[in-house]
Amino acid sequence: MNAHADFAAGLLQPTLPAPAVLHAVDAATREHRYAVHRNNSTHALVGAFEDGFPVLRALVGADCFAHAARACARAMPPRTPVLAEHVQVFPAFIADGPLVDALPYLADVARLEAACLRVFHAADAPSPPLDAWQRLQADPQRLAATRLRLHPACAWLACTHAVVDLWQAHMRAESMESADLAGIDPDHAQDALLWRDDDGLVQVAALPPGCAAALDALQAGVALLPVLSRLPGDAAATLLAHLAGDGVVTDILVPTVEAT
Amino acid sequence: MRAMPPSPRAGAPGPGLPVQAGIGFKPRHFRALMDDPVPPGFVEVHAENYLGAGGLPHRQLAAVAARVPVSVHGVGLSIGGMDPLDRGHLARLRGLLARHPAAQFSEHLAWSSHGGIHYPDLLPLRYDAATLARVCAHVSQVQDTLGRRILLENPSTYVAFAGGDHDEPGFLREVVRRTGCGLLLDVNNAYVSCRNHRRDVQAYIAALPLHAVGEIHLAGHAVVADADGGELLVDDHGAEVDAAVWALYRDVLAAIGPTPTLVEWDTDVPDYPVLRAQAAIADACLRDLARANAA
Repeated sequence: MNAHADFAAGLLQPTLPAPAVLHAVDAATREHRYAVHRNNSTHALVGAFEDGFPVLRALVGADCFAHAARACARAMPPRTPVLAEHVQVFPAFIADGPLVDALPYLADVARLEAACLRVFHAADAPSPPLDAWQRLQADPQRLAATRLRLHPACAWLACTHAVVDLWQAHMRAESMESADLAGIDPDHAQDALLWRDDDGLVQVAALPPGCAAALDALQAGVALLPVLSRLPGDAAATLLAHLAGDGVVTDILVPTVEAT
Repeated sequence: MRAMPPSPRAGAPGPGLPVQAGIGFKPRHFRALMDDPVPPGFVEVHAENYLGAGGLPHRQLAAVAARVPVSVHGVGLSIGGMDPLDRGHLARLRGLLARHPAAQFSEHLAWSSHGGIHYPDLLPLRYDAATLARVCAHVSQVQDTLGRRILLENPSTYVAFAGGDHDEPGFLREVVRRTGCGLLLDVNNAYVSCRNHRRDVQAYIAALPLHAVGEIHLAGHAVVADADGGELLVDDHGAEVDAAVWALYRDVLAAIGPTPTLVEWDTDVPDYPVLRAQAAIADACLRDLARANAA
C-alpha cells in the first residue's frame, strides 16, 4: 500500500489503527490526532445526510439516523467531492437496511427527499407562456394530440406509502420533531410530484396512483390524450391541473391539426 | 513580527479582490447580506456547493456577485492526491468560473481523494520530492485548465508523515517558484499547525513565500485535550477569531502590506451581524495599517 492508501484506510473504519506512516510520536498521540481526521470525514458525511434527509431523521430519531448515516458512510463512501450529489446513495442504503423492517415507508421517504435535492439543484428552464394552456383548452382536438417537454426541475415518484402526507406534515410543523402524524395512514399509496416554485423552493404534491406512470409516458413523448385516457377521470383531471398550473412543463408541443 | 522582513508584492494577483475584509457566504445570510447598507468587501464560496445545474444556489450567487466581488474556494480537487486530478471535476470548476466570473480561485495544499474515494476533509502530505513534483504538476494543470493563476492555501495539520525532506514553508516556496501560483495565507491554520507541532509560528510565517500572498484567511478554532493532557487545536471554523490569531494577523499585515482578508465561519454559523463584525475588525486592522504607512 502507498502512503495515502494507508492513511485513507482507517478514515471511515474506526476499528482500524492509525496509519503507521505517520511521524513517530507515541502511539496514543498518533491515535488521538488521527481521530481528528476520522471525525472530520464522518462528521461531514453525517451532516450532509442530516441536511438532505430531515424528515427521515425526524421519523427515526437523531441517534438512530446518525447510526444509519455512519453505516452508509462506511458501506458507500463518496465517489464524488460534491456531497449534495453523494447523498443520493442514501435511499438504496435505507431500502436494503434494517430500518425498513420496522417502518417500511422509510424507503419511500428517503426516495422523496433525495428527489427534493435533485429538483432543488436541477437545471433552469423557461415555462410556457401564461396563455398557452388557455388557448389549448379552447381547442380540445389540439389538446389531445399535444405532447409535452417536462421541466428539468420536476420529478415524480410512484410510492407504495403515503409519503407526501408524511412529508407535508413535517413541513407544516413548527419543528420537524413536533410534526403531527395523527390521521395519516402510511400504507395508503400515493404518487408524488415535485417541482420548483418561483422562489426556487421545492414543492411536493400528492397525485393519485397511476399519475407517475402517466408522467413517464409524457416524458417519453406520448401525446396527452392516450396518456390521460388511461387514468381514472379524477386522476386525469388532477394531473392536468398540475401540468397547466405549476412549473412541471417547460415546453408545449402543439401539433398542426389538419382540417377534417 | 520582528523576524519578518517586509516583502515586495511581486506577483500579487491583478484586478482580483479588493484590499478589504470579506466573509464566507452562507445561503442563510443571503437576505441580510443583500440588505446590508455597508456590505463586506467581498465574499467567498466553496466551489463544490455550486456545481449543481441550476436553481436557487446559482440565482443567489449571481445576485451576490452583482453586489460584491466573489472569490471561489475549492475544497475537492485533491491537489496533493496520488491519483490523477479528476478531469470531470476540473471541467465543472471551469464551467462554474465561466458562469459566475470570480475575482479569484483558490485551493488547498492537501489531498482528499484516493483510489476514487473522496473524503470530505483536507488531509496532510508528506513533503518530499515526489510530492513536490506531483503537487506542482497538478497546480499547473489547474492553472492551465482554468486559464488563471490560482492561490494555494497552507493547511491545518494534526499529524505529519514520517520521511519528508522539506518543511512546509520551504515546500510552499518551491511550489510557488515552480508554478507561479500565489499563496493564500491562512493565519489561523499557521497558528493551529505550529501550536500542534510545537513550532515557532513567527518563524514559520517568515519562511513562507510572502511575496506571493494574494489573500489572507482568518477563522476560529477549537481547543481540545491532546493525548498527553496538553492542548490540541482543531481548525473547526466554529468560533470568533482567537486573540492570538488577530495579533499574528496584524504582524503579517505589517510585514506584507494591506491584503484582501477573509473571515470564515462554517460550524455553528452565527447570525450575519456576528460574522460581519469579525470582518469589521479585519477592516479596522487594514485601515490602521494604511494610516501608519501614510504617516
